[in-house]
Amino acid sequence: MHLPRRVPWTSLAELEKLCGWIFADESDAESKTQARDRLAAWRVSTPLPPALESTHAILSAHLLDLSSASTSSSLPLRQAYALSIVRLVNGLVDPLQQGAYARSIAAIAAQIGLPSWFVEVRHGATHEDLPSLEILREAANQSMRWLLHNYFLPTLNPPNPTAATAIPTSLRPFAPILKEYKALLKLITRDASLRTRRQNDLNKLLRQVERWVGEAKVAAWDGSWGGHADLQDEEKERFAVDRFCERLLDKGGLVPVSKSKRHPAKTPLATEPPNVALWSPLLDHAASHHPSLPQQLVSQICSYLVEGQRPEGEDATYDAALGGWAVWLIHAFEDDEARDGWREDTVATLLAGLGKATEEKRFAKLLVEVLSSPSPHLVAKTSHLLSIVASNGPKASDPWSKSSLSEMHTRLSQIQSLVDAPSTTKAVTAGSARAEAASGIPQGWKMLSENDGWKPCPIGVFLAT
Amino acid sequence: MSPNRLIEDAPNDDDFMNMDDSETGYNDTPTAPDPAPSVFSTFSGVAQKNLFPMDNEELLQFNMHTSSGRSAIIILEPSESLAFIGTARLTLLRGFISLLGVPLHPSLDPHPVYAPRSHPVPILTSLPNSPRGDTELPPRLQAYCGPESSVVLIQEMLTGVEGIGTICKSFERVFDNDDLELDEAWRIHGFTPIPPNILPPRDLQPFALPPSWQATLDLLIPEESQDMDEDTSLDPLVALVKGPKKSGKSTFARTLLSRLTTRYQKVAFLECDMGQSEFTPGGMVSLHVISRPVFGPPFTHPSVPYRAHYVGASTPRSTPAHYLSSILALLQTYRLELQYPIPGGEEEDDDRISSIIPLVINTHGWVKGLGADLSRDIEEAAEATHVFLLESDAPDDNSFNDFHHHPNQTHTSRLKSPKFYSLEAIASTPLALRYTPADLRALSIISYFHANFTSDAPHIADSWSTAVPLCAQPPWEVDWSVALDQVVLVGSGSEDVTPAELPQALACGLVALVSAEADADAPAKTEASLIPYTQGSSSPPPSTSHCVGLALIRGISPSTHALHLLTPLPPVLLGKCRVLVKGELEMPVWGLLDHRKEEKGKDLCGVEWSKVPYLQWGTMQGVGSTKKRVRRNLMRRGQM
Repeated sequence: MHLPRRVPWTSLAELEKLCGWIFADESDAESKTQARDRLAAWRVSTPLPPALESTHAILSAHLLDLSSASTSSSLPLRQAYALSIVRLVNGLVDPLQQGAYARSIAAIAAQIGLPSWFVEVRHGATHEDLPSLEILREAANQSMRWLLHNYFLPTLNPPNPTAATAIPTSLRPFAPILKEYKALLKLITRDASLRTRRQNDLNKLLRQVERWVGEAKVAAWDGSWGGHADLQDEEKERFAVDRFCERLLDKGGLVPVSKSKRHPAKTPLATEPPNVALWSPLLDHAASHHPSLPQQLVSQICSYLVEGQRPEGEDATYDAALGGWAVWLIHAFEDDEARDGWREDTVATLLAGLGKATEEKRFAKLLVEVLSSPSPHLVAKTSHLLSIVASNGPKASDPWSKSSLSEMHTRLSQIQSLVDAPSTTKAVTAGSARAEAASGIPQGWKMLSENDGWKPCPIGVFLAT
Repeated sequence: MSPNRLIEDAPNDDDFMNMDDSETGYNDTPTAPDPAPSVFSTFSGVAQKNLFPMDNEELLQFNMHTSSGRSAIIILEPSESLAFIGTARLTLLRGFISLLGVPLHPSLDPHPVYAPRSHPVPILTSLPNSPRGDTELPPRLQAYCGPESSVVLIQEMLTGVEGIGTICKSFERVFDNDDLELDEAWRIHGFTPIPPNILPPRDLQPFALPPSWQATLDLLIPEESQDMDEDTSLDPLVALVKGPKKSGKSTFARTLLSRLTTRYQKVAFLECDMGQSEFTPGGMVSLHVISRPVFGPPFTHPSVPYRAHYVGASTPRSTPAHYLSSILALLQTYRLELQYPIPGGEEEDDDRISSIIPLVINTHGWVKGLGADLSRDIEEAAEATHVFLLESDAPDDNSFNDFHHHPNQTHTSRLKSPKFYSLEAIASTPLALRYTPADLRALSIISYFHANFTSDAPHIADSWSTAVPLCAQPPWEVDWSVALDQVVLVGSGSEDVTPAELPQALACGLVALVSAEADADAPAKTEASLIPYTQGSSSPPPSTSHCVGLALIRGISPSTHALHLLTPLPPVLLGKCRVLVKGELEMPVWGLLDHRKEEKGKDLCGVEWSKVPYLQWGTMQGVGSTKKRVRRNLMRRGQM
């Protein structure tokens, strides 16, 4: 189960503002003081990441330096600077001490691109003579710049890991492997006697596929070093399999290039047997190594169908072929216990995306029908919903009228009738017990309710009443 | 696997050495050194032979408490045992049984029992006995009762406690019985006996009292002796439990407390461990008065304490002086108000001692450095009559040995030195690996905020409302210009927060609701839009203030001088709380989400995730954005 992170800011814009206060104008002590105070408050609100904590420490030392220009003793200042550098280096290096034995700090610093002389300053400050003010000022200065480039800017401008652009260039093309695979499989399927003889070649190719997915997984790490370091293994796997699915749905993948070969034979949304024979060894193999592959592939297909955006030069046969694959995949892989409810989920996703039925989405709709057909229960539910979608879909030209509201009510009750009665909870409904005990309410306290205009909202949102 | 391990890498919990913080998370795991395979049930229920479903009519006929759900009576032969998970109300009608190390005699008072699979499983064991104080049994049962049989009434108890697991997902389904087959004869909702002769589910851990604990408790509270009054009437028992982290202090203290309630009408309990508190969320030291055995792990009995002082962190490391003075204040409260209760008011048919209230003190597990000094101070101030020391197995812990042999010298000034008992520390268990201290702390905060506190008197909650997440519960709107005297920040670095930045520090924060005598230092009221706050002020002294409970600040609006607060406390308790204290304690992320949604979803209460304040999904970019991680087990090459 994944959880979001607790952060001290309400949005990244607040962090951006802070960053501006610190870095926008080198000589603006006032805004730097503001930044220091903000960081002090954030620190009390929730534990800060090491980079921000160091920013706070160095900034404080720097402001002390500005204000104490005339004092006779430099020692307090040197101590403030020195400790902030020691804690900066430790804070960045410690998370990377992952083995049983200590790695040298210099080695880790090099890995994260921390200037090696920071490490020397740290050593000096802890074990040797306290470094001079000149060195310390310079170190503080460079540290701040380092934090700007390695913490603030990457945090404020996170690359989107799911976007295709995020794939590092190091990921080698997959098309040649696919091409080789198809050539080999065509040979084997045509002449069964070749199967045993070429089995080795096939295995070798499947291993290549596996290696490519492995590389994609590493690529999920790549890009910026620190960013994905704590990416969960699961996420990396997901990332890699998604890339793999994209390749399969690309030109030269699952959908035959020749449009005549795509045409569903007798039943709607079926996949031609030769096509299945061609791809099932690869899909079986990949699914056994990556159990989430069938689901991810189907979900990609569904989003293609729902969004109705075909690659250039493709026509409806492309959609039909994709739909056929979704049906085949679900049929072939749904028996696994881990995929319980997959069919229903897929239908639900499609229905949700279907919204207004348009001609472009007719294959998505068809897919819903085909997927529901084995289960009378599903058919009952979906046919109902599909009819709502089909018949009552608001036309763009429809003016808003009172009748629209009643129509919405009708639809709401229709939908509600489909939802199972909510399971009874044993717990006493919250609030009621407390609200009843509301006698003797102290001055200045008031229990809000929906009547005051309060409604559920995330913790941290103040809803004025 | 604990999600805290996955996601947050057990944040904060490895920050400081040798405090309870670094416990691997488990305070409830006593096990016999070599548990035999048949440690669970030996009792096999056969309907109408030793298992009798009961209806309310029959229960009424025999003066037994009725309940809305189903009930059954079981007859246990001597040494037969029954292990179970779930919740139930147990009443011993005849015989003599032991439950979670507490021997019980027949009484018509039911005992609520909470048995989640996340904690050691309680085992009801029938002990040989000479019948005493029996209650009348329905005649249809008489034929099946031997002279030494124990007869137990088991009743459905629905409290909503299982809902806590739906919010705090690391404890999801801990009251469920998915993998256990249920005999139709047991039809008690929420109660699952573990059948004999099956291999019990692997995640279950039986509760077993280490032999040295058993022997010590038997010696201290002898079963059949009625003359304990004599030697205790003047000098009430003050028991102090100490030992290093993970040694089982809390479990021993709870067992001792429960056992004492079988002899005394009331027993006081002083909690000094702020990391894993028994009756409250962490962050405070608290005094409780308990009148019946406590059967369940800490999160199943959140309480409004008799008296408490808020320290604001799970260890005393940043405010040791305030911590100590808080404990001293509680000890004084005990001596002045509790130790010798005013006679009268005790129940008539209660043969337990009412002239004295003994005290059990659970200490923190920080036994080195400053922690050792604090322990010594507490021990001296407590003037304990009995000190229970849980010995750590690790002999390399030199400073700890220094510390516990010390008292013999330091107590020379006292008239009577305490009796020392050495106890074996509990072995570590698989459960300890499954849950981190952070998980358990999160659990107890979530449990507290969803508990139903119904009375204004100190009491233990016995039901929970978890249907509505905190974010959807209507809050209190508090006008600080009217309702509050002062807001105080405690913890290291808190003195740097300027008044202008205070809202940033309070946002989404857990605060203690503190009742304090009017203080001359309180900031003069200037502008209504400013929260009454003086930078650098310290918490009100424990001698003139106390903590009533906790609240979550869910919103702040300076323009209308309003705070939106969530608290489970009843309104009658809120008026006197005119001071808010914010410490290092945080609301776990579980408590900020909406558990009614299966998955992450697109939004939280209709607000798109990207616009939800204080929470961020996904990985953080940038070096140094991961949580701080402190390693103490790092070795140097050449060190083997």
